[in-house]
Amino acid sequence: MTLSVRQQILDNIGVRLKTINGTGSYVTDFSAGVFEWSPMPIETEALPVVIYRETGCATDNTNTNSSVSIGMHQHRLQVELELKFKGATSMANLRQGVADIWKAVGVEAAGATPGRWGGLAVMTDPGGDAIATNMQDRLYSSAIVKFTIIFRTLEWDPYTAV
Amino acid sequence: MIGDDDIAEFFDPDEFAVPALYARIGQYQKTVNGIFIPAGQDIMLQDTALEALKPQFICATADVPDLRRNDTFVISSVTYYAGPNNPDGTGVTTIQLSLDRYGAK
Repeated sequence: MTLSVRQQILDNIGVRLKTINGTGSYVTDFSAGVFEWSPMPIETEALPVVIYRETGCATDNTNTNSSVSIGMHQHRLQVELELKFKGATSMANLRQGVADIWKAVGVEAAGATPGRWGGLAVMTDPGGDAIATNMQDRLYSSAIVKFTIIFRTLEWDPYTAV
Repeated sequence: MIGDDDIAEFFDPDEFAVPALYARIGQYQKTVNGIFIPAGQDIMLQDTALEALKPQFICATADVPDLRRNDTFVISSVTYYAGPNNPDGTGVTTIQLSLDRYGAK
């Protein structure tokens, strides 16, 4: 099956997130808790987890953005990662998790080859994060980290990166 | 009208109640009989729900007159911390429990 560039980039996000496994330069272990979207509630036994999703994609051509060459479409893929932790130290763990996420995103964003989400993206713009907490049977904490991946395709051809 | 005898019968450990070792922080501890409800509920935390529990302990208000946040209840060998509590005005108090201290790091 031929995959769109967008799908390939999302797949690469999942692969990159699974490298946050508590070893090397990472403290957090998300390796068993990476989900693409999550329409069902997450079982708290599974925490910590990270859920990744794209919340939209804006597309330009040369008429709407003069920096885009004729014959191309430039896409701004808005990505959200939602991190969940539990326990008395979950706020500190959450901050560590956010740091590990930025580090992992940076491997793709700053890399030349084979970085940039499998070489498919032009660049990655950082967004920011927002955190929240809730006290039930445990202390739960959550963060949403946002960034934007910019990639280009042939115009009207979402399967061919340029 | 509900009397003290009715409440005592309601929290009889031979019926539905369980004993909890209640510890008023730094002061005293005693056994309190009550009904433990480990109810589950989905909680929304940002955009994704969690399948969390909302354990509650229901007991006679007179048994926990000095109840404070983070007092402990040991129920079936598990230590819970007291959270918000709600005396209902009829002599019964419902206490929200947590495995983590409220306000703890």
